[in-house]
Amino acid sequence: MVPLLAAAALWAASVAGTVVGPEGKPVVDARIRIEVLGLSARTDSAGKFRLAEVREGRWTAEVQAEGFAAHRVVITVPSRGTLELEFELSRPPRAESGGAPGGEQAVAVTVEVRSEGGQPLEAATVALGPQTAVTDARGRARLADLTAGPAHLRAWRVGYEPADSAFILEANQQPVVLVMRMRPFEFLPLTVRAERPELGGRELERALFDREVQPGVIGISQAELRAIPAAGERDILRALQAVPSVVAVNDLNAQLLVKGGGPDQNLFLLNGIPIIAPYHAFGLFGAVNSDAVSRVEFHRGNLPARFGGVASSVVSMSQREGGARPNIEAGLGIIGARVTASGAAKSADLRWLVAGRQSHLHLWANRFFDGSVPYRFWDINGQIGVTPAKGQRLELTFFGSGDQFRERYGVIDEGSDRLHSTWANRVVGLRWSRASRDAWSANANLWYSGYRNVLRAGDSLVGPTTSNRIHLAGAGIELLRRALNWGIRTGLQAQAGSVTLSDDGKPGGFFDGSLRSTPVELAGYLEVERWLGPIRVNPGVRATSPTPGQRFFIEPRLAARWQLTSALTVSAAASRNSQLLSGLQDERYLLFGAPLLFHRPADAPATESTGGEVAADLWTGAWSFSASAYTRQLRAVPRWRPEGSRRIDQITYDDGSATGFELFARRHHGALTGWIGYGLSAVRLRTSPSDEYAPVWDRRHNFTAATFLALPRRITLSSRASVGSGQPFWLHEGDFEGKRFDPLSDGQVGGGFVPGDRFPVFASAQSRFPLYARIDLALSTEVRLAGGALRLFASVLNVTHHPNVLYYTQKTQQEAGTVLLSPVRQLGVFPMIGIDFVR
Amino acid sequence: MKRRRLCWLLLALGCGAPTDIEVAISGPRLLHVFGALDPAYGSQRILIEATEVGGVIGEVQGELFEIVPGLGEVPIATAQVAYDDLCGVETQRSNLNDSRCLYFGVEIRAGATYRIQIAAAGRRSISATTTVPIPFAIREVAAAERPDGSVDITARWSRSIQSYGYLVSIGPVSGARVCVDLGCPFPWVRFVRDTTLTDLIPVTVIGEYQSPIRVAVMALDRALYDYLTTGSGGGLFPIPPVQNVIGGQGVLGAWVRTFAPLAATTLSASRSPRTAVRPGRCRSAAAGQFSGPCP
Repeated sequence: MVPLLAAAALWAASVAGTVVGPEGKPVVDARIRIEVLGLSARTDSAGKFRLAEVREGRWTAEVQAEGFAAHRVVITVPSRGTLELEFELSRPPRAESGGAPGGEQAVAVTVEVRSEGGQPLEAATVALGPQTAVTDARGRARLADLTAGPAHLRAWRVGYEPADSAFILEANQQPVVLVMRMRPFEFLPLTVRAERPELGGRELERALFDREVQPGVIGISQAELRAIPAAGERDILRALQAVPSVVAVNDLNAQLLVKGGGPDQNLFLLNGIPIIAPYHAFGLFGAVNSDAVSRVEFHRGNLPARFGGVASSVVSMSQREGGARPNIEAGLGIIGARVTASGAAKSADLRWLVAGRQSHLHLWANRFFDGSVPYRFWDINGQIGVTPAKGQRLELTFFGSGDQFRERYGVIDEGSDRLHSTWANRVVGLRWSRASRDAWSANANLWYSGYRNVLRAGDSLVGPTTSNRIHLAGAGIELLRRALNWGIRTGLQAQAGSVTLSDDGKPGGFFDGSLRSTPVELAGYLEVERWLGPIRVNPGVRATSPTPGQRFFIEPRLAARWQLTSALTVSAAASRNSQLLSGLQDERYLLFGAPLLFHRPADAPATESTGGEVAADLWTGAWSFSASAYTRQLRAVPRWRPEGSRRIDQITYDDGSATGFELFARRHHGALTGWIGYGLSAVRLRTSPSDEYAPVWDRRHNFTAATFLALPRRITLSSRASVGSGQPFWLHEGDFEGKRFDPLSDGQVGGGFVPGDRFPVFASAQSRFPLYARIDLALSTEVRLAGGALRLFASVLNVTHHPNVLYYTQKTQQEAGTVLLSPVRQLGVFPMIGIDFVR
Repeated sequence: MKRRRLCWLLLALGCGAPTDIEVAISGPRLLHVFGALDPAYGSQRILIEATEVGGVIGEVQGELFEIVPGLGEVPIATAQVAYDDLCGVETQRSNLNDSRCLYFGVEIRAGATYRIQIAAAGRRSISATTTVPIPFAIREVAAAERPDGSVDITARWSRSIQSYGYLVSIGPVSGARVCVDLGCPFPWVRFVRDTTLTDLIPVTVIGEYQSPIRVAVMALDRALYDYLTTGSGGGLFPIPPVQNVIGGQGVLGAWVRTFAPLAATTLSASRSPRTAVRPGRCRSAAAGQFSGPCP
């Protein structure tokens, strides 16, 4: 599937300079072009030009002016700053002489690059001496201004072995044909050294596309994370919600609902270690600090065999490593403050990075608003990496997050008047890897991941306490080998721990009883990759032996991609994914607050997703396009809808299906980058064969777009738009007033019953909210300082103030047989400002 | 031209305000029922409420049956329907939903099982069944006052046959609750399944009462116990309590009640002899501590 984003241009350098003629006079209206980036500029009356927002790298710049010979040069653009150039153009050689400026004969050659199957290869780079060019859709490129004589021509392209040709370049040179052999893309996981800049949007996207055969993989770079308008804090999960086939159930929830899956059907990995519930602020945004993450790989739907225990998606986050020099960055937003420190020790090639974030809203909000903010959070990310031997890497990763909400809802500061909610994640892991091109490569890891969620209402003597404690530890080893046209990846993973979801039995608790399990799981997987001409086949299988007493899972995974042309591919995939760790939830609501998770009892079925997807991807110079369709059969999706009983062991399991279609177009280069996408997704679940319903995340039609416009003076204007169907809801027919006992309501008889909480009465029929629409805008600029830069940003969410519905309450009866429902709005206009200091 | 179209699109996305929607209800309306049968009374009162705000309860008929082994259901009373607060003596209501009080002029028997049947015009008929617990006795109430004024209480009582659990509370023998300074906290109420309770009564609760205090123990049937101990309110995700009304909402339960006086041993530094719990302490707003009897 195609890409995400392209804000690679956001934090880039400039190329400026002067174009002069042979006499040193300025050349007016000369055109300077970097074709592969889609950038061009013209010189002014002083012969000066400027190309803004040029990404770091080696690029071929071409200068053309009327009356002068075209001039090409390979330039190396730094990560930031301005590259000053001066071009001196020469007069074109006279036709009759055919002589080069230096007196030698100037010749040109046309190169045709083809695949082994004879298909022209677009976007291959060809080089001969100092001249380089990129092949067009016909696989052709022309190299001019060459000197006749012995020549060494070389072509290279991602996914192919470089091709070379040595020949004698002649004045009337015939076209040279180069045949390139397909080469499976580097099968190892991407190894990103934290030397900035990290992979840009297009490079990451393309690398993932070449590495993974499964459709639906998307990559997001750190620059893209920074650019997408944020809600409160810049957020990885919010950025992922802007991708087609991913929906958010409402503005207040950062949970991911991927291709018809539920919010608990996503696996979050940080350097390969699972984070159980990475949410802050009752799910408003994610707990992983985006400053500490170099890139995110988002596998949607069909998963490779190496991923297990999850039904819908994998969000794999890679932490940044420290740079070669000590560095400190900081950021301040309206909710939290961030600091990132990094450095290195040359002796052992040790690199480290620590990033921390702390909310500060609770310290000052009461000066501006009524009441205090009884909520705070923090998180910390860290990584230490060393190179114990050549080709090896040892990394220690750690992550922790904590949230606390302590609200006094009574009039007296008495224990019984408090609602106290805390939740936290703890993650630590050690990973060793050895990379080799010609032999087996290996990865091994050892990790621990913990999650604690405690919700207490009232004091400890009276109030109910609900707690969710998860401790998981695991280890894994993986072997990889790649060759010219095949690759193999196999591994073993072991995981053990305890999952406890309990209530202390006091009245008024969220549920009654407890679920405790001590899962022990051993899994093995095998992925094989084989090139069969233009077809790349990637079968795999995963076998899991969970806690004794549960059945043995065999999960086949298959993916294939057919390279129709150099730019067009067709992919297909099918897989079965099983999941045992699930959330306690009701599809009528998505809960605010930290998730309550349980591990499947031995006698309960695992959630299963079985399905397939077909996709077509087209890559052109600046654009990529994708169209895909998927269907999934969902089995044993847990549902806890307490009505007649609140016993925790009375969870029911629903079957259903999800079907969808997706169109996605993305522009990678130029001043305006971004994407536009449309997703159709229909989800149905069944409580019984005759009782079918749509869960709240069945958003059906969902149009999404994100754009990044690079303006002069280092200003970037970003936008995110989402327009789609309203979510389904159960008609709210009325309310009833519960009663509670009050010993003093009737002193003569020892008490009586007084009005208590109100509870809704739902009809069995469903309806939908009105059209959902939200447009967010963000503006950022950078001010250079000595030793760094200040990056200022401001964003406004729901800038059009569209009245999206959060839920309905019953207002009054209009007439017999009808009720009047009154909407409660989601997010209104929500501004945010912030400042970062970067070096 | 393109710019103008874009502006129109933005306006379309931004215009309007959240609007109310009128929804047709496909099925019959529901009633919420709350009743706690009590053999100590010569009559039984059951509150019914409309579940829709603004809706009106039309003509109502109610009948109470006793389920007699070997005979089946025996009708024992027909309801008198009242518009006033006949039920409000023990069951208060808010005025948001239309309500009626069904008055059954009949005494019920401990240990017997009863079913109520209610039919209202334009609404689904509803019924519910309950079994009345057998009376029981409080055997011991021991209390010890801590230096801070809170009281450790231990209470024991005999088992009530047919009951599922017990509700224990304290209240004044006479008079009302007096809350000063910052108002009344939630009343002290405990639900237990066993016939023993050991707990702490906070000083804030003790300070509310201006007269001698007594302990009340109520034996509840399963339906009433579950209803009172479950359910969580809240705007976005309320969880209704466990109910036993078929065709509607609510509960029909039963209970029997027993009382005993509360006296405490003072555990102050001077180890003074056993005294009654002191009523009427007041809170010092400044220090946040309880500083003695009310003036």
